[in-house]
Amino acid sequence: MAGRAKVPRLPGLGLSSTVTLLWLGALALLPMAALVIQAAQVPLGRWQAVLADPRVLSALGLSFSGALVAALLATLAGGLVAWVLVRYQFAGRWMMDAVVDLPFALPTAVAGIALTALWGPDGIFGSFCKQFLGLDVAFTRVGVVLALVFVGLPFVVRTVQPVLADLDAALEEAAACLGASQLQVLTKVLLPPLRPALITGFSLAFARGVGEFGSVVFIAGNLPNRTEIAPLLVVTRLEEYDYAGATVLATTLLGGSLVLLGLLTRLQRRPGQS
Amino acid sequence: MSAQQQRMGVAAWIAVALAAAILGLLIAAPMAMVVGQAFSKGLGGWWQAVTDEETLRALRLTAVVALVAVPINTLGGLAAAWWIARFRFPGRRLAVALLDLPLSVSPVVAGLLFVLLFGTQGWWGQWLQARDIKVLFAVPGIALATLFVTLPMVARELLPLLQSQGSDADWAAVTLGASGRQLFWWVVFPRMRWAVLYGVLLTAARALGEFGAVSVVSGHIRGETNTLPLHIEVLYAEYHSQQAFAASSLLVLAGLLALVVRRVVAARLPKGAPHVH
Amino acid sequence: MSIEVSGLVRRFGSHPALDNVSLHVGDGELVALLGPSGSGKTTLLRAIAGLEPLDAGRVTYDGVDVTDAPARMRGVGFVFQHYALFGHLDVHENVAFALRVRKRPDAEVRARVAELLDLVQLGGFADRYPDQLSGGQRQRVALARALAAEPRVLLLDEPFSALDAQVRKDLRRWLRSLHDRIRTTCLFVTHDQEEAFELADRVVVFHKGRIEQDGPPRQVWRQPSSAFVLQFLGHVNLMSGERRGGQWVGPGDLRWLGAPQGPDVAEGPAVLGVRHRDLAVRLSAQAGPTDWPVTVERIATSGWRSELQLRLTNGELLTAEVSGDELDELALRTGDAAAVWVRHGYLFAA
Repeated sequence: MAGRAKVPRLPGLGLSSTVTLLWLGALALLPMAALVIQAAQVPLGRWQAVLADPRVLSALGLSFSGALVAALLATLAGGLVAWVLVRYQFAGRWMMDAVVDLPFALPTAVAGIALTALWGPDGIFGSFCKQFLGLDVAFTRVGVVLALVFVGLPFVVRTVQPVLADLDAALEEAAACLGASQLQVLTKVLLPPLRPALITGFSLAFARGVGEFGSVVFIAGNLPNRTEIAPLLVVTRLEEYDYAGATVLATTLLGGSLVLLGLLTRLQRRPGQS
Repeated sequence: MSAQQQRMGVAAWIAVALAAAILGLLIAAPMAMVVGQAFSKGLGGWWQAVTDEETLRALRLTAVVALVAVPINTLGGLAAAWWIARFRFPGRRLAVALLDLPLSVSPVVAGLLFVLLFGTQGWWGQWLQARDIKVLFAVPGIALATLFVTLPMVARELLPLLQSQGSDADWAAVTLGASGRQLFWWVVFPRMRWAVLYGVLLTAARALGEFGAVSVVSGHIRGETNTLPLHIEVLYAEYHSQQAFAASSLLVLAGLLALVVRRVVAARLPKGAPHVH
Repeated sequence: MSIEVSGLVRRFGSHPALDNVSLHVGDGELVALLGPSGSGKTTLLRAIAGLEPLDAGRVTYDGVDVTDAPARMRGVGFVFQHYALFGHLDVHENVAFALRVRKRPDAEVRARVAELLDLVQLGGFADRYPDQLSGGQRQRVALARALAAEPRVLLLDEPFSALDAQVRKDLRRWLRSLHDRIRTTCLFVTHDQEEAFELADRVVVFHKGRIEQDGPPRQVWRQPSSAFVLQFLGHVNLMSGERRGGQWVGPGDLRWLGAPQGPDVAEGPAVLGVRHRDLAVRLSAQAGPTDWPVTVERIATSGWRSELQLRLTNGELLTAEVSGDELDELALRTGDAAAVWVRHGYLFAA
């Protein structure tokens, strides 16, 4: 009577696992292993030397801080857009909804060139800002953040929108009946259930922003120590055949963003939040 | 949904106006810029720009790269989604993490990975050089970098769909006597065909438009290893603005197509989804 | 086809979903697997279909061991709880699926599907899609689909749980008459005792991965084999006490001298079970010497019958069910004193 019977399972285990392992192994695991191993082979002194370079520090600083600021702005703006799209009925709503997705359709380089053409000194918006606000957008850090908000905004809208749509409007009505002010409704009733989605949107915008290249390089101006982003410096180092320098920079960029993303995930899973 | 929509007060109109301004200035304007500039010399000017010999060459190379990346990542994505969604195995979470990793890697770093593998100072650089095989600064390198960047796109469309569909219909097909092949072609694939199509278009659009990763591994040899985005950069740097935007409009078209299909997919989804009560 | 399972064990971690289960189902029988959720009934159904891994035990169909046979080779018809219809196929193709898989000629498929759709009374629905059907219609499509390849056994997992009360009742009767016509061996899982009793030839009650009782509905109803079964069948008062000198003695010197309905139990701790309708109520003035005095706490009337919540002097609460006429005759009100006596009682060793 004994004997462990075969585990019933759907067909395709062998084929799907083999294909996946080959595919992921060759195209993801192997290249990532190359980076990790090459980074480990760079002597510690070299690491210190690369990371102590003010130009490197400035580039890393700009990439991380720019991505954080841009993600924050994208979260605020994206939250607003999502709110408007879910809660209000107005002519042109579907058009607004469609426009949100456009950055997904614009290749990064095209977006970068278009933004530069608009916000550069000769562009319509750029000359306006210069003339009336005395503000240079292109070729400054403002331009970097602008491009990153462009990239990050749709991620926030598309994560927050469905959660907001699922939120029962009766929650707000109930809170209002219980005597909550509008501000209290926002902070005590609406934001808590939206928090995970907002953090996810922020994380996606940030992750994309840290490594963003195409949409930023054109508008950034790329002045070393001022508007040079870390990914560009990686390219520069490679062009100088400084593989070690490029590897150190790339590892720091990737490691830093993975650590920050891990922290954000943890923030999202605080107890009591669904 | 409609119950949630409130009557619009002044505050609401201000919110709508603000949202419209943000989207208009930040997103709609660049899109309008591309289209406007692309056709600034009329349809003829646009046609001339996109049929320029170098542009066509770049387009051809880009198409070849996409034609390599799309089938491989579609096949891999199908396999990975089925494996991860329908089976339990040690290292499953690791596989998911690995699958998502390319999304957190800067395109430039993605390019670097392949330089580290195939560059002259890389792992296999010397070996390849000795045999006169060109990977880096050639089509294979560009294809590999593009493959990496677009790796998760099909899988990420299919995995959540398979998970939300649940396996009951698959098991039903099995108890009705379906073989593995019949199960795939008659049940599994038809139930996710729209998501597959969207994933394919997404992969294609990204493969066509990839800039950072390709920029690192291409070597920028004009007419040889310049893909369309790289060629657009050259045109723009040489102040051929209209030509640059005309070429861009081709890429934008691919991206827009993917978006339209996603709308269709979203509208279609309830049909394939399980009827849970 | 007859089915025999013996010594089935299935563990989820340390928790046994099936704990040495053996069962024989005869050819053409209609058997209900009844039990609360998590009692192992669905696991057994899936194990018979080959959808569930087993830690031990054997499954045989007509004496042939199928324990290691894959689900697709077993020739079972399985109806899933949420039907698992193919949303991308219309009703016709859903039903035809098992025939298409077997590459039957088109004409045969058409004829057979038409016949099955008539059988499940969905003749005009062939080109509808599942999401255009009501719950009851989907259920019948699922059934027709499972029957298409003439399965040797029909297995249904909670077949009516997702339906409205009225549809559920209609479909139940219809399934019974369908079974009377096609006579395919049939097992279904349910947590609804009314469903099991109305539909099945035989009811198998599950509790914690074991078979608690197995018998015809009437027998299970009249002679529940354990306090669990009696309680699961519902509408019952359970009181712990002990069997002493041929009497049952409960807390507060409550005594019952009657003979138990089922088998008697030995002296020692014993549970007395009295169905609500078997607890008779009368006015204090007419109380017999062995009656239990109670106070009326609550009277809930639903149409022709009423439920009385009665407080014993020892503090325990009992429920008695009386007809509307009886209640009128008693003319009891909340707070009144009354007396109860046990018309029929069950005793189980505790």
